[in-house]
Amino acid sequence: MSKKPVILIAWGPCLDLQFYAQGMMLTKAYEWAVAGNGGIPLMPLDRSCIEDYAERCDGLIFPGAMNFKPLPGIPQEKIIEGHARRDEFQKALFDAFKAKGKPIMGICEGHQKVNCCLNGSILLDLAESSGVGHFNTAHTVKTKKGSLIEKIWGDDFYINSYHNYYVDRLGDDLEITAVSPQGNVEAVEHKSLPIFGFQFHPERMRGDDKIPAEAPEADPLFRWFIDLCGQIRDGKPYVKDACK
Amino acid sequence: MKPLIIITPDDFNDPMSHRPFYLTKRSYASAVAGAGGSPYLALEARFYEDYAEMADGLLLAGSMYNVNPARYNESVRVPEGKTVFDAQAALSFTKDSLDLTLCKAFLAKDKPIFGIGRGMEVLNVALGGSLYQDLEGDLKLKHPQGADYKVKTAEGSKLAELLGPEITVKNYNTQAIKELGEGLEAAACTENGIIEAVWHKELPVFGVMWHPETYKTSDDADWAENKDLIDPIEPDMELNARLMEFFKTKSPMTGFATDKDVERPTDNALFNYFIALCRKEA
Repeated sequence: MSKKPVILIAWGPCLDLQFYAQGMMLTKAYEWAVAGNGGIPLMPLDRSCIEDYAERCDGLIFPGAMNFKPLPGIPQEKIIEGHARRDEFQKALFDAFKAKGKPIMGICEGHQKVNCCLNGSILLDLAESSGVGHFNTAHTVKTKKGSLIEKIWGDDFYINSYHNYYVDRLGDDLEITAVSPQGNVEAVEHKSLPIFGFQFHPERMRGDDKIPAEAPEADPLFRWFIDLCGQIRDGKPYVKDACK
Repeated sequence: MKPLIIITPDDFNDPMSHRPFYLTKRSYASAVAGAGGSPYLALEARFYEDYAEMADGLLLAGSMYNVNPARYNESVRVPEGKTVFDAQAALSFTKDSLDLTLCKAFLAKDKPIFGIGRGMEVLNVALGGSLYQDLEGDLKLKHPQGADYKVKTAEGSKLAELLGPEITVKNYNTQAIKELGEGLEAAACTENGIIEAVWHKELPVFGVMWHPETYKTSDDADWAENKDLIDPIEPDMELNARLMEFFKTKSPMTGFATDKDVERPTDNALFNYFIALCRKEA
């Protein structure tokens, strides 16, 4: 394999518009964030090749997606149909990368997915339950002292927000590293493994197209994550809180 | 280890978020996996050399986009009754860039390439060949769109060995090969003489205009089920609402709890040949 870390970015479901056939899609912002920070982005495509993906690739990113077929713990009547096979595919990827100690980053729905893969749960309709919607808006977050997100961006800053679902019961061995003004979970870190989740979209907080304008630049996060993937590939053990 | 196969993505703007995205249909991956390969989607044109280095083979997938005629030294001709905007809408700079850089990088390393539909046209153009921009207009003939027709394979060719002297195919192309790229020869033609498959004389490189990835996969059922739901050719003001309704009432994923048991045909002759080339066994 190449010297550059190879980063696997999972997909969202779509309908191929030439054949109207079932397909897989990814917004380009994710691959730009990876490629712009030294990682080679690839998308996994087939459920029968999970071991191959986990063996050859150095890190895993779960992107956001339109809706979510939740794992147990979700009110059934709120379930939007679909995504079941994708959930199962991503759970298999998560387990394979986690078993090898390889880094995993979840973004937005991917962050919720990381939480669910570790036996946490999510709830729908943030607007109803908290009184404040989080779709297509920006707000501040407060971070936990000493966490990765605090070291990279400080203790209080603006992020974008594009979600209606949110983390309810926290997954096993996760800790909350950022919260919204209403107290919702905005970022998580695993207590010992290189597993991270961000409820906002850091891949849209880059360069000339940064959303929102007052957000910090996200490249340092991606650079750190991709470097970490390379270090773990090269046999260096993961040390939590080692980020300077 | 399974051969690592890089598949080229298609390229669209999301009608809801207006963000650009890459996509692929599942049957390309199912066909590769069924033949024993491990399929990955390429995502970044700047890493064409890394992709060519790490992969064992390249699948140039189909797309609705035409290759920009400037890539074979012609200007874009605006079809009668259409505007320059229609003509440009049929092109994608980013897709041309990704496809052609990848194709040339794999050619430079003598690594296997399988072109399908537009992918065969890309292969021809990458090797210096050209295309008829308007197949029916340029050649004054009718070419079946989405209907079965017969093609004859070249006598003594590898394709004839794999599929026999005559095959029934279906495709959707509005362009066709004019001049063959360097090193390519026609491996199948219609009765009108339109080139339907190409084979390289020395390199492990070939292409077909029809869609062998649909063989025993869910594509045909998907087409029948979904073709009336949305119209991708002429998006209108109602498209967003129709898409939202579509996703609310009828997910494209309905009925699949897992991908473990989707169809992965093990007897697809062209894909088996391609993966054998990638294993250096053919």
